[in-house]
Amino acid sequence: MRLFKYYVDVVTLIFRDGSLKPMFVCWDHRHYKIDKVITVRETYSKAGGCGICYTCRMGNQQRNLFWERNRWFLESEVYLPGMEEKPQPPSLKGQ
Amino acid sequence: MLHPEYRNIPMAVGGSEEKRHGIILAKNDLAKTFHIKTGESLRDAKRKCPDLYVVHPDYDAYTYYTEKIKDIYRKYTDRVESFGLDEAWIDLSGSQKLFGDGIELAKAIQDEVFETFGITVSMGVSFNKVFSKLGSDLFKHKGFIVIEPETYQDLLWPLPIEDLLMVGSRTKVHLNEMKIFTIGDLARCDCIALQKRFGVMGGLLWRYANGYDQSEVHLVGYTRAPKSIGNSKTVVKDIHSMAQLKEVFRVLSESIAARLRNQNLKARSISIWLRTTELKGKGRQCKFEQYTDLARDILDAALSLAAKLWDGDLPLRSVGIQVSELSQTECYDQLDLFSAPNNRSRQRKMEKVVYEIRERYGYDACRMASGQVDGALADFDPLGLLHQVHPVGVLEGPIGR
Repeated sequence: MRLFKYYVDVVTLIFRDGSLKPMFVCWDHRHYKIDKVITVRETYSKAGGCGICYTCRMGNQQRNLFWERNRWFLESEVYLPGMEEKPQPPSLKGQ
Repeated sequence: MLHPEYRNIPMAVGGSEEKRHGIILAKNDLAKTFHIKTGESLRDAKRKCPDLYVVHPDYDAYTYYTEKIKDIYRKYTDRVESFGLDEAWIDLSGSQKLFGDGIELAKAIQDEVFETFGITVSMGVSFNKVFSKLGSDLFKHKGFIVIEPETYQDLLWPLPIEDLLMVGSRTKVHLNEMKIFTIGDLARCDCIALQKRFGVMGGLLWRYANGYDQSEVHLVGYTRAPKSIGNSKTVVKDIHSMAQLKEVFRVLSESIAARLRNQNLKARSISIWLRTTELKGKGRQCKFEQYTDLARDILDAALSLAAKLWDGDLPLRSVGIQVSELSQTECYDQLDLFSAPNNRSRQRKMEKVVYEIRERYGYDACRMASGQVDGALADFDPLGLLHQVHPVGVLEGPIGR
């Protein structure tokens, strides 16, 4: 099964030791509560990218939420045209 | 890794054609089947493979992930020496008591990198650095090979000579003239004859081929002092006149001088390099009158070299300046009979202030008016300060009463 990745807004609790706990995923003006973080591990996504993978339960759904460098993305088997990340313009570093 | 969908189409990483950086930097296996080579122009590559998908490089992500991967290596040993951005030597001999057998540990590291980042690394395990590098190049895509003192002759000696570290295309031609075609040929030939032909390099290559390399893997944090500092630029439009060249050289020399001062270095010699639109390069070098870290000196010397080297017949496409013979010792400015005694120190102070302004408020905060005449040509920032705007601290030092 092919997976897709979507960068999302996440309401996150940051603990004193720097660890993160995702609380709500914001998608299309709606907030989806994360009921439980089942596992946390550092790995890669088959949809592309890598980071700290939080396997979360939201209602009766289970999804992988990745903390990639400085932002969150959600792994999903649902394809939503137009929601994928746009190609990056050439870097201006050193120009 | 970031875009797995590109694995199934011919894809290459290439610069921006508009900014005239349009060359292939890397390509995937499917693109390789079209004989696309690193360094060739995007136009040539597109001719070979019209469906080639070109993505722009993301240098930040590249350096970030290569460092993260090296962090995994550093978990197991303090002897990790980078060889370029994406290669490293790891000495596991001291880690075996703690983590178990070296070969098993190397495999575990390889697996851990794949599981964490989804990136395959190829590894060569051997008793010296040269053979481990050679081994890692043998099999791509999570390749793994163990080269032991008993087996290296069977495994490595039949390989072509250019596979050996430090043997480039030119050395290969010279070695082929001596009827040396494989690493085994090199190992079996007379060391004295090699030394006569190549000098110290000949002896070094012979030792490499015989597995006598005993150099150690440096500790984490080891940095080698630079031997030269340089900047070059492929300009957005061709340079036709000396005035245009001066503006580009000014930006380059300011950057080099700032880098020299940041490392408390001064340079004694300078070389310039010019490349025409016909892609033919030429260079020239000279010595400064004294050790210097002033952009003014670098610019003056570079322009006088350029005047000897280039008469404006062919437009220039890329130019570069490099200073070498660096010294970290305290070199005082030699006084001049006809100029004010504090001339050089004032110039240094002025250049430092300009650099500080740029560091705090961004490169655009302080530019030469002459650079605005042909804005596009000198509109680049080799130090990468263009978009850096640091917050400025209000208080410096203790608060006075």
